[in-house]
Amino acid sequence: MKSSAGIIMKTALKERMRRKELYIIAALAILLLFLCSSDVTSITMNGEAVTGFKNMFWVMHALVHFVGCVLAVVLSLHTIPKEYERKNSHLVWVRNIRQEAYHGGLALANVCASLWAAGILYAALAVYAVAKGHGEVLLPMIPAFLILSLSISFVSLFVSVMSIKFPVMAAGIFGAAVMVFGVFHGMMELFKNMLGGLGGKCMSFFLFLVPDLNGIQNAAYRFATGEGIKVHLVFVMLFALWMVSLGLFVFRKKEA
Amino acid sequence: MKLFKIGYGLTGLILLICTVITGSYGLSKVNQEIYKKAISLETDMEKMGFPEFFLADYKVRFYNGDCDYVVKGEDIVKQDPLLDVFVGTTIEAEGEYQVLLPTYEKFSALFDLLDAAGTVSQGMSEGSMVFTQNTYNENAHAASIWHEAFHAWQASRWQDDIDALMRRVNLGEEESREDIIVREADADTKAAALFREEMEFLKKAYHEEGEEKKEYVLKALSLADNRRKILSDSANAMEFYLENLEGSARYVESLAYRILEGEKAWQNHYLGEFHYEEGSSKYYYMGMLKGLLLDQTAEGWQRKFSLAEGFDGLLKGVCQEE
Amino acid sequence: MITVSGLSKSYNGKKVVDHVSFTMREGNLFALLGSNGAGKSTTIKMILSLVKKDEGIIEIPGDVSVGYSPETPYFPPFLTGMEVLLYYGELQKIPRETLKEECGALLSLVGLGEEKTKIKFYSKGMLQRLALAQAMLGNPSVLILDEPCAGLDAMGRIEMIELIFKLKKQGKTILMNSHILSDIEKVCDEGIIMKKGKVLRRFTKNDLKGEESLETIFTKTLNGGMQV
Repeated sequence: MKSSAGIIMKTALKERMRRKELYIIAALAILLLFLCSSDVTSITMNGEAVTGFKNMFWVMHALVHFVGCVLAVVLSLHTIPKEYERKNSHLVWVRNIRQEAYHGGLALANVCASLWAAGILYAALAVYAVAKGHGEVLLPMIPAFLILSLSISFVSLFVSVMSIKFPVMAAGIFGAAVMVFGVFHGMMELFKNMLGGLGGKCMSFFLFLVPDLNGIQNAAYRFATGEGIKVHLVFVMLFALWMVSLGLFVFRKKEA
Repeated sequence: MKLFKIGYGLTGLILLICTVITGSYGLSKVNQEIYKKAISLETDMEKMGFPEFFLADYKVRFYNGDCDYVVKGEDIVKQDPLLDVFVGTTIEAEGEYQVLLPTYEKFSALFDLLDAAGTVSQGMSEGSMVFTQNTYNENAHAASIWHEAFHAWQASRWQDDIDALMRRVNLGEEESREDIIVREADADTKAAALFREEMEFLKKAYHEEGEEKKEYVLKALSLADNRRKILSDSANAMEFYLENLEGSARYVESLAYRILEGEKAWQNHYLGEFHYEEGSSKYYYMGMLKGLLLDQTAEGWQRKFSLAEGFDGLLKGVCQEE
Repeated sequence: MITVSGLSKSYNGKKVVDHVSFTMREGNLFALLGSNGAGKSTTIKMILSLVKKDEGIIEIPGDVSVGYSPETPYFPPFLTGMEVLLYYGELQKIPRETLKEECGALLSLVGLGEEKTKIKFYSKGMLQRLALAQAMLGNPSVLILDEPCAGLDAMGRIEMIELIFKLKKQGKTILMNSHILSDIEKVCDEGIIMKKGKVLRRFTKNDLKGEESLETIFTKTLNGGMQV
């Protein structure tokens, strides 16, 4: 017997697959691929144009991660609120489906859709690597994507959980803030130190709460380029995902 | 449902345990190894001959973003952070000069975002960074410890001279030494051209032998004299500071790196970077190269090295001897 | 079968349902009547636990299953009618072996048996019929229909009322909420007329057998403000 969350997830995902989102993401991936392949690039490092494969691959890897996180926010923000707005929730609630199963199913659909979107972008990156004659990264890119997916999943799940309790605008702001703090974790640390005082203390607190998504991105990049990863980072992300998933039980709608 | 709840709770508990177990607490092994590597060079570096310069004399503070781990010998003590740094520096604390630098993890993690912010590029032109993310490694971190330790050695011997030197520099409240160089030295095209020429002669001198080497050095030094006549006293003081204090520290750092990483890597990262560009970095390399030239021409020069005459004074003395 | 007593609900201090009580009898069609804002939909939502009641008691025996058709049904637009029914059927844990067959039968019953298009191409009437079909999944003993004729054209209304009548004949207990009185009159056994959250009058089929039509009773009740 299938679980309610699984059924809800499957249907929500089926619905998304048939929408035009697919084309938008594919177009974005192609654009990214074009940018990667193009010799004309405005990305510079140490004052010189970044054209070498290793540098370019690193830049594009970080870009794919960032775009993936943005897409995760966009794809996850409206799903649950729209269910309630359209009263679709009525037909689920009357069937005695528990809220955590209902919201969990929708959140899982969000995570899957976000990973699918990130997967397309990552595939574009793989095509770029092959086109540049670096087919050796293809195989390690598969597990590297699994590592990267922890970060994308975190953003998606966090936004989904926030959207249960808070209005779309607030959930979007929270989600974007967590994404920015996570993706630019190191840079935020610099700002924290520049701020000092109460502002610095607040930032320290947020930096403690938000996992280092950029660390995960770096770990994925290192894995793809043949270096080892720190298991601790992976466990931190898995635990962070588990913590966020608690929100599915804690945050409840009073009415359908 | 009950089974699910148990499984869910158990999963969280297992993840928490794994997170705690795999986490590193205190100063990580990597940093401890880096410190040990740096200390292991003590005998080799002692042969250099800077009087009473021992790394073991200085406490090394590893800053991890939250706290400092103060290392001296086998002792590691956790303390509140003294200063937020993302590159190494020397700091006066507990009545002595200490080395302060970010932990290897913090420094490595910051590299990519520094790249994004253009800080690596800036750091390289200022001379505070030698490596990019792809080339930085634990040996480079160990070499940085030697660089900062040498600054601590300089400060403990010459602090009054350094203060006097810096008093000559027209440093505004919001200004850095980088600003002075750009404004007062780089902006003078004639002085910049002389600097370029001086560099060329020094490069040639490094690869030549015997009298030709000395000739090239003397030509370079005469160009340096000409440049000093054009530049303001403030610019001269700043240049002297950078070339002799930072340059000698870069010299020490480069030798530590040479022992740890080998000849080829040393040549790539230190000799390969000797070219003119705006900012302070050229003085670091200029000082380092003059130190290397003294190695070739005047063994034991380190014992005589002082701020009274600097590299140029020593070189001039050696080349004019005969 | 279902008993509601003293049901109340307020929003921002304003009472939208005020001590409403009634009993639905097995096999009967019970009508909730009233103009817009009378509190009919809120009452239905409280019975279905979609909205929390402030006070009152709702008694539904444990063996009674309830199907619900909402006033403005929304279904995922890129799914087909069959996929929608399969989805809700799976959620209801209807055995897979019988589910597809049941969905097919229900679609035929509501006149969508041959429909293969996606929901986004459905007319309002088709959506209402699909909503009714999903309410009947699992053969519930009670059907709660919130404005089942809303937005339908004359023909659509006639078809819907015929369908509801058919279901009633099959023995279903139906709670129906509508403001189209002529539709209700044809099928209902008893009901209440509500205004501003309060029950103003109760009526049975027998009241409609006299000279007065439901419309007359309704108008008189609302204008007279008679309270029961």
